[in-house]
Amino acid sequence: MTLSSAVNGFLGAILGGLALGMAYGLIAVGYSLVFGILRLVNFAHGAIYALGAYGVFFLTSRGMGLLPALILAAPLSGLGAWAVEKWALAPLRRRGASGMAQLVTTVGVSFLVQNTLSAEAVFGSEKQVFPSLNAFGSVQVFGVTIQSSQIIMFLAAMGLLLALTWLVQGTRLGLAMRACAQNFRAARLVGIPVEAVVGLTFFLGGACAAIAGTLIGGYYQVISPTMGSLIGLKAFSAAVVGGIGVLHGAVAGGLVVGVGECLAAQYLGSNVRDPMAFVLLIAILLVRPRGLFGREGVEKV
Amino acid sequence: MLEVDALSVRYGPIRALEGLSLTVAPGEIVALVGANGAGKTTAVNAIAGLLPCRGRVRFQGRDIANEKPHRIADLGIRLSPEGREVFPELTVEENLRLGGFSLRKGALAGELERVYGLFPRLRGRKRQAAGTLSGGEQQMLALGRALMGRPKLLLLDEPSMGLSPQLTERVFGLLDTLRRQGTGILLIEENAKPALALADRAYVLETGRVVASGEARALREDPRVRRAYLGT
Ligand SMILES: Nc1ncnc2c1ncn2[C@@H]1O[C@H](COP(=O)(O)OP(=O)(O)OP(=O)(O)O)[C@@H](O)[C@H]1O
Ligand SMILES: [Mg+2]
Repeated sequence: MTLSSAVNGFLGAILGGLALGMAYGLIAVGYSLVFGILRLVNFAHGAIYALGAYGVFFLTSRGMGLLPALILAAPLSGLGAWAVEKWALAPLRRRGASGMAQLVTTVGVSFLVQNTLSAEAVFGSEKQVFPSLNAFGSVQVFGVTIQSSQIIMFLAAMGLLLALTWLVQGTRLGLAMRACAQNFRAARLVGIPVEAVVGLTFFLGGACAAIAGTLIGGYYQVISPTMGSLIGLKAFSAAVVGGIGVLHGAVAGGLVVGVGECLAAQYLGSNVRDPMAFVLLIAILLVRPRGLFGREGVEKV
Repeated sequence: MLEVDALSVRYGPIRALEGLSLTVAPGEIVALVGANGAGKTTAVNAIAGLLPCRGRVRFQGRDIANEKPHRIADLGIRLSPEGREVFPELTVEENLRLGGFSLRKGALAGELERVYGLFPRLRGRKRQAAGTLSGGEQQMLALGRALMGRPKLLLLDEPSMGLSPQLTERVFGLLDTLRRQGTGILLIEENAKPALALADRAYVLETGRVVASGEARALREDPRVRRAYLGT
């Protein structure tokens, strides 16, 4: 192996990892936002990711273009996530159910969605070929081959994450979200419709997951009903690695996991790829128990 | 403007409030006094919509019992809660902006100015996280937050908690000003004496029931008030 091909292999893994990692970040923010506001790990999130990809798959198989299909499927998936909150989780909270009851409910919803997608009458359990995101072939940068799908994935995910950051940090709605994340009771007292804000948080997370499902589906050009379970866990790890409840932490965690797994695949073999996210999770939490950007005091009233 | 009739609240088997009836008129300060655990906080929390309750709560002729708290807030009722409950990780200014959550943009700036005028200490700490304020400063912030948007009815649960005597006096002066501007105020105070001196009328609560009520001044020498505040 020549020096330059070694450098190229390394750079290729880094760039590929950044692209994939940004998409992980887009999923991870969904975990982070919901955790921030409810202190709940939403295990249905991976299923919404799959749901979004299947929505786009369905529409494109009916002749719609990838972008219009996504523009339709993303808000619909967001509505799906909103519905889970509205009809499964919020009623539990109103009746004073424990966090554990909500957690188990999200696991149940996840299986429900997955099994519905894989029903013979719906899409079936086999993998499906997904339209390619590699719209413009590939480019060479310093001798490293980068696919346009990677560039699209990176830019689209980054753009959305920036928009989301602006929403949370720079708007009145985001201020309400941050207030709810700290104290529901005080938020109610100043006139914030807390349940609506929680529902909107699920909607945003679900829509982002659907977009990530489309980006990653288009990158690998294959989807399956269970596609959300492993990636969901990876993105959840990413959220924890970055410091759960912290928006930029989710992005950083996604990038760490994405780059980590691509480097692992490059140097340790492709079967090390998937476990890498969890190795990183354990290693980083041992050093920084609250994650890279985690704060003290996620306790909440 | 506020008419509470036969209000009852239970926490599971505990009856915290049994048949509370009271009224607050515009431009009136009404004190709610009673020993620890008498049910004062329970009463204002129920009026603000935070607790499920039985009985009637009417505000400006409109039934608001068991209405959602954000709706009640939007009608112009603001609670400055026991224990302050500021948003600790948000800045002072963000906390105040949240107080004016339902205001239009233009109105918001004016209200911020007004509240900073009332509590100049907060102006200097605009960008400081509320959780890092001193206890007294947090109390000012909780009050300022409740005052954003000029509520018609203020529910104040121990607003002088943690304030120095001078500052308490200033806050009481502020309440007097608000009264003259027509705001209705329901005031809970640990310090019954100055509260009864300020208030127009008062209700004395004992284990969830009103045991005495009437003109605040007359109640100052009432033995039931003394019993509620042993030693004061
Ligand atoms: N969440 C709760 N669960 C069970 N009991 C409660 C709860 N909150 C209050 N109580 C009980 O209800 C009664 C009234 O409490 P409340 O807080 O209204 O008293 P208070 O008059 O405000 O007292 P203090 O002067 O100490 O603030 C008390 O006996 C208290 O123990
Ligand atoms: Mg109290």
